[in-house]
Amino acid sequence: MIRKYVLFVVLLSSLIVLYSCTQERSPCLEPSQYFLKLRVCKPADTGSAGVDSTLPATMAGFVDTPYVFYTDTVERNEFIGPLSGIADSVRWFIMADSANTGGIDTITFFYNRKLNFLSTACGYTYVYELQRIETTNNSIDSTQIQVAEVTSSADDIHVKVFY
Amino acid sequence: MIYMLKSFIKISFLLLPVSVLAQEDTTVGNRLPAHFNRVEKTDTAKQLRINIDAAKILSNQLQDERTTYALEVDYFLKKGLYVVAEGGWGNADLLYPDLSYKSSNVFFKGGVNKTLLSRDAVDDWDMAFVGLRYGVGLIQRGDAQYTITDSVWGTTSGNIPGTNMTAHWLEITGGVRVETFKQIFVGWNVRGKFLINGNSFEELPPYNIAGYGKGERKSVFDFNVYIGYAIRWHKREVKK
Repeated sequence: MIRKYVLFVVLLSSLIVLYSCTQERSPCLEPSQYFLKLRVCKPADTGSAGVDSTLPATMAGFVDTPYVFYTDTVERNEFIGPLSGIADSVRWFIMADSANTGGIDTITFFYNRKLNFLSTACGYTYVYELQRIETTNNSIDSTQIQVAEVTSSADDIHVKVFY
Repeated sequence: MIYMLKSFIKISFLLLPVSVLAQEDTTVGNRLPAHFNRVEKTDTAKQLRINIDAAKILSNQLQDERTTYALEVDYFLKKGLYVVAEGGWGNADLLYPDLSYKSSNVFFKGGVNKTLLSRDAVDDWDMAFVGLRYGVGLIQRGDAQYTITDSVWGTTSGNIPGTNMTAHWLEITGGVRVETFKQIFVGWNVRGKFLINGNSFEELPPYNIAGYGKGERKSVFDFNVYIGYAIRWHKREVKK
């Protein structure tokens, strides 16, 4: 009786094993591109931390492409946008108020790219390390790098932009 | 009358093993007078068992990405303790548009099994057991080609040079072996495996490490189905 039971378990288990072996590549269930996060601030009376602020109706995108991230009609205090996987710098434009085209600024991010293995399901991606930032100053007062590493961490504010 | 006779015969057959056991108990036991030459069955049997992982051989035929061949040898020490040596080899091919590379490895494992139930008789080798293993895999990973797709900027591609790596892991295992025919065993193992040096694979782990499993996972579950053959010797009767 015990032997029959064991044989049954062996047979059943073999089927499970064979089924699992025929499974195809696992789907990629994690983000495979990391984004830069900016926060809009006003200078504080003391210190350099700044006070959170908002922009009224922002338009933002890449300067060198027709790619636009935001065409807002509501106030916004954070921007999330991509860097470039093929170059070590990228230039965004940010229009604080789309009704005021004179207030448009460009902001250029310089960074190092580092290859990062995610998984066999997702392959490789890049993590970025911000080196410096250059801006025009039509509306923007200054910028400040808060967290240089642009990785999968969704909570990080990488750059503060002071208006 | 005939019915009663048949019933008597049936009951007699049913009780026959009990009476035989009872006789064995009196002849083999210690209650015989000292001047008799006593024959005592002593558990001096030795067994070396060679097991092949049949499930891996079957799964090799069902998919192209990885192959594993595994062999296990166990040797009965004493008191339900077996010393176990395992070995094998395999390879893995991950061939996708965004990531492709190959790897191959050999592996060796050593450890012990401890049976959970005592043996009923000298020739009872069926066993349910738990065990521990230490495993090492010598891995050769080939060059890898990757492609990263960016929806705005297009794709970038590159190569990761191949390298040799060593994997170390520990296993806890449990399973069953049943002698279905004389000296022929079938059985299975379940295994929980824990990679000791997983951090050394962060650049690009082998897709599959034969003997362990997916190289990118620091703990894995595995299952084996074994067919085995036992070699026995020193099974003798000792005269006292």
